[in-house]
Amino acid sequence: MKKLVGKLLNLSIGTKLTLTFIALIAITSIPLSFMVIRFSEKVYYERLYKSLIGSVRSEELQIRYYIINRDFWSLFKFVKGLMEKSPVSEAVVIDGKGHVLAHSNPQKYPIGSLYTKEGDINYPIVGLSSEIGKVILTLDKDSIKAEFKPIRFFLIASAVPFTGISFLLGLFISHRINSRLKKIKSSIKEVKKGNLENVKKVEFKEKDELQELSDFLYEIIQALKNYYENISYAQKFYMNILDTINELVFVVDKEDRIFYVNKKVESFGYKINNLIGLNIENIIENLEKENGNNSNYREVLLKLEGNREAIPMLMGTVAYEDWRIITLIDISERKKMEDKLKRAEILSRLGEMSVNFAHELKNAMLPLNLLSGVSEFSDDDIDVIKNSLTRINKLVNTFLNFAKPVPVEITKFNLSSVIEDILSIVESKARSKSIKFIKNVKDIEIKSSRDLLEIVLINLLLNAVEAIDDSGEVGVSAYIKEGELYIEVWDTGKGMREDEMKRVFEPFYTTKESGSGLGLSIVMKNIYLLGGSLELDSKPGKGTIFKLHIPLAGDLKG
Amino acid sequence: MGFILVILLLVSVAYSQDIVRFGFTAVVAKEDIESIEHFLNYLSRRTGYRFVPVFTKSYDEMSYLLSRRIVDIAYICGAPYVEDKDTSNFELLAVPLHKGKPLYYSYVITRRDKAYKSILDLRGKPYAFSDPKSNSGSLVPTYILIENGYKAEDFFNPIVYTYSHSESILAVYYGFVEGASVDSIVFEQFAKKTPEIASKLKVIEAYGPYPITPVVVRKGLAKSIKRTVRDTLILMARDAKGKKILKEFALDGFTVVSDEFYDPIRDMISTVKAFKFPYGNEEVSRQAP
Repeated sequence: MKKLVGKLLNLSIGTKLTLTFIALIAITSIPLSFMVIRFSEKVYYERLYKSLIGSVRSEELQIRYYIINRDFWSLFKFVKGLMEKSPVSEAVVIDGKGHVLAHSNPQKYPIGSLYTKEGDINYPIVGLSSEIGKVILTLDKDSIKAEFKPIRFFLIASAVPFTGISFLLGLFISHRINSRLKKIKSSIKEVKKGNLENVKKVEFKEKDELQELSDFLYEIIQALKNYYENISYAQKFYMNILDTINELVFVVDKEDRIFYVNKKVESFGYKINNLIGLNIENIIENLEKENGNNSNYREVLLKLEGNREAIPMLMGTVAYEDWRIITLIDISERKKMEDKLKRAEILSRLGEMSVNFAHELKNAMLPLNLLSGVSEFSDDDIDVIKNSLTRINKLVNTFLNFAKPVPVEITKFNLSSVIEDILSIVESKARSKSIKFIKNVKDIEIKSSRDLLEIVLINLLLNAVEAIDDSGEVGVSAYIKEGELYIEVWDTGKGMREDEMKRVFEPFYTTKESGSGLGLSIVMKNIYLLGGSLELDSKPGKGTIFKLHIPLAGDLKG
Repeated sequence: MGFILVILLLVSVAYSQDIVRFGFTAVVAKEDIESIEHFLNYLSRRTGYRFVPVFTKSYDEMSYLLSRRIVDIAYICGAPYVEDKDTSNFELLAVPLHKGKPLYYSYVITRRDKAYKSILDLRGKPYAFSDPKSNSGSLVPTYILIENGYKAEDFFNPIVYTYSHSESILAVYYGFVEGASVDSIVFEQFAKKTPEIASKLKVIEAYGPYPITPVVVRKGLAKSIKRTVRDTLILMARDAKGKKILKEFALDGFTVVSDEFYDPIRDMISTVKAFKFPYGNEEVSRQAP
């Protein structure tokens, strides 16, 4: 049933209209026909009864006489006569006891047989006081129906042209509506194709709801046209902006496939069309998906076509639900600048260093100067000369080493075991003192430069041990937080004054008798190379703490 | 007390001095008015008298009309002639000839699709007699049944009196009765005129021959008229027009017979009466079925 209703609802307007017309005709004509037939049947029956009773009544006296005289033959002729009246199927005259005196079908009901049927018309024949017999008529329903055949036929015959006319009317209206809808549809099709310019106003002869709809659609299309014009203007506007800015802008989908890139990419030798649909990992190195952190600038490398070297870029990301915007700024120039700056800084350090170096060299050469006036050298003198020369040699080597650039090799290693190894070396050098070593390092694997980190830790830990006079604590702890390594090295030694703290990182500055004065400057240099930072906190008499903050692999400088 | 239906067809009474009223009974098909008119017109032209037809339903009525001089001449049956001629005061005028003889038969007829072979097979069935006083339509079957030891009123269930041989034929045809005893001349006449009805019927027995139905005249009628009419009837077969009219009644002509000619019927009546059978008495014969 639901299905049927659904099917009916899905029919075209035309079919619906036609069906409605036919249904209307059926709804009105069927009950009407029924009523007409019922009414005419009723009238017919009344007439029929009246006429049949009338014809019996007109013969009543005769019949009475025939019954009394048992004139069977005359009674038979009478019932035979009644049979001539069309709808009578059975006519019988019975006596007072129900016995047949004459029946229209004498073979079935011979004289004297008992007749018990009721019949449709019962006309009693009364003698002087009592009933002496009865005329019973049975009507032939079929022949009565046949009498109504012409009426039925007429009603049906009249319903047929009505139905036909309504069908044609429905067809005509539906055709008209359909053709009008087609016109509207065809203008919508133009809209679909995007030919908003070609859409013309549809005008009908009928100024009805369809015209209103068509007008309304036309207005909407006009509004759409304006809207699209605005949008396309805005699109051009923003495109132009995007194409003129100095940044590379990518938009990628969930699977990191590029679906937009601005013109800037062409300046790197790429063609936009070749990039659309490509996974962005194909052109950006070190692209690690970030955990939804937007605008977190990181350095990445933009691969170039051919064997050309990748270009460093600063990458920013804005992630939306289904797509990400990735912006790249070419930082190769800045990098070069930075390198230049670094060299300049090192040179200036070297300058600073040279002052200390010269001072140290002068100190080392002092014995040689003193001995230069001596004509003969004693063994002690020779020892002094040897010592001085050794010291000078050492100074010169250290100086050379400091200025030499160090190659950085990134490896994956276990930080905990590296610290363990360093501690065992440091402990061996601190046997003369009573130092408690505290190690709080989780078993973590990191990707970084093991050499640089080892040098940093050895220097810091040795400084810590040296800061303790007789007894105290030296501690090291390391942990990773938000992808970055934090290391703290502390001691409970003599600590530093503020003015000392300012100078400790200067090359060749030392408070120790045997120190080169380069320890902390090397630490500083290495941390810089690792891209990290270092904090120092110290109080005289209380101790010192160095806090290191090093970003993990991928962000190394050098 | 009888219901008397008298139809007087007055052809013309303007200036005729002698009107002869001619009675017709069930011995002719009264429905054949045209033939009767032809017959009477013929007599009028030949005799100069004006003939007026008078019809009655029963022989009793005709006898009564003869006795009251309302009818002058009547064509009746042999049995009422024998019974009523003295009490109703009439005598033989002439007798018709059928196939050359003044004789006819009493037929027992049924529908063709029935299996009856004899009147005796119709026991307990509705059966049509014409007039209670008819020879062929009442007396003969009653007599035959008596000879076979039956009383007609008890043998049939019931006897239907049609007062007309042709109606008896129709009663059989419609199936209202299973059989009927009818005048052979009337039956043949009927068969000739309505073969579609006759084709559904058959004659299973023919009793006879019996003296034919006579034309009688009331005794008081002027002798000249009697003689003129008798002569005209006897001479009728000699001219073509008369012959043609006779043929319409299936007759060949007229002749004269003596009263003794009807002795066979007289014998049958006495036999029936001797059996103390209430013959011709309506009160008894019309029993309730």
